[in-house]
Amino acid sequence: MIAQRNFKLLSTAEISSYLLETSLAGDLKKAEYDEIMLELGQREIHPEALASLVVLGEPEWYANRIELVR
Amino acid sequence: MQPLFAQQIESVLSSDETLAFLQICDELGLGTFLVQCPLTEISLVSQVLIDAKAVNGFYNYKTQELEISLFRTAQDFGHLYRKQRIWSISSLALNAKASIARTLVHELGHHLHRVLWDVDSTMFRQTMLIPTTDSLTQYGLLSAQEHFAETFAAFVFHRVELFMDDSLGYAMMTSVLARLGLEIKELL
Repeated sequence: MIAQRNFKLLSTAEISSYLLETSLAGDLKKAEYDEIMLELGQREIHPEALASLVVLGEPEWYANRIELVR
Repeated sequence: MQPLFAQQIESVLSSDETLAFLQICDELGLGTFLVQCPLTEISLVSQVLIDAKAVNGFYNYKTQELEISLFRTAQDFGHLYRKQRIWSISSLALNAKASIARTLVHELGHHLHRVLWDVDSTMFRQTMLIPTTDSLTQYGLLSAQEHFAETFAAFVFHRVELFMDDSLGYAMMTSVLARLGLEIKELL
């Protein structure tokens, strides 16, 4: 893993992969997560790409973006 | 199919939905795998909305829950295969019901990917590094994990096209399935 990442320079797909790997490995730090969410919040992202980003089900992201109609 | 598996999903799905799901898993050859590595929850919902826009479904790698939307429009299926001119493998289905089944297979692909993390994290990381540029679908271009799930769906429904048009993806899928000890049947 690269110690310091500039998320502004990464594509959404790269951030998504990074998010998944670091989270599964238990390496995702809260500050880094917040930074990622801040960066993603400023981007226009296709909703299907968003589905790919919510794979971790982080509460704030999950709750604000997804609605299940039963 | 072992009863435990059926009990786990019956609490969420109706009996008809359960039977349909079991049939697909059984046809794929995933029945035993899902007993050993079960999903936490499978839900069929009327719609999955993300930022108020409908999506076909999603899989949560953290909780291992799977959600499938039953909502489809005429634009969501009935397309002819042309590499990267189609949105997803599910859009190649002939009708709405088949499209929903294909979404289910796509999401099961994510579950296989998640299980791979537990079985062989090194191989998992390799799958995240494989270029998505040759993905058959536009959806597969979005990220490594979507490329994996789309490649799994293509392996199930369009194996020849996958072999011809995304040889790296095909090789990735055969390696992963061998590592997981799975023999996945092709569904036509």
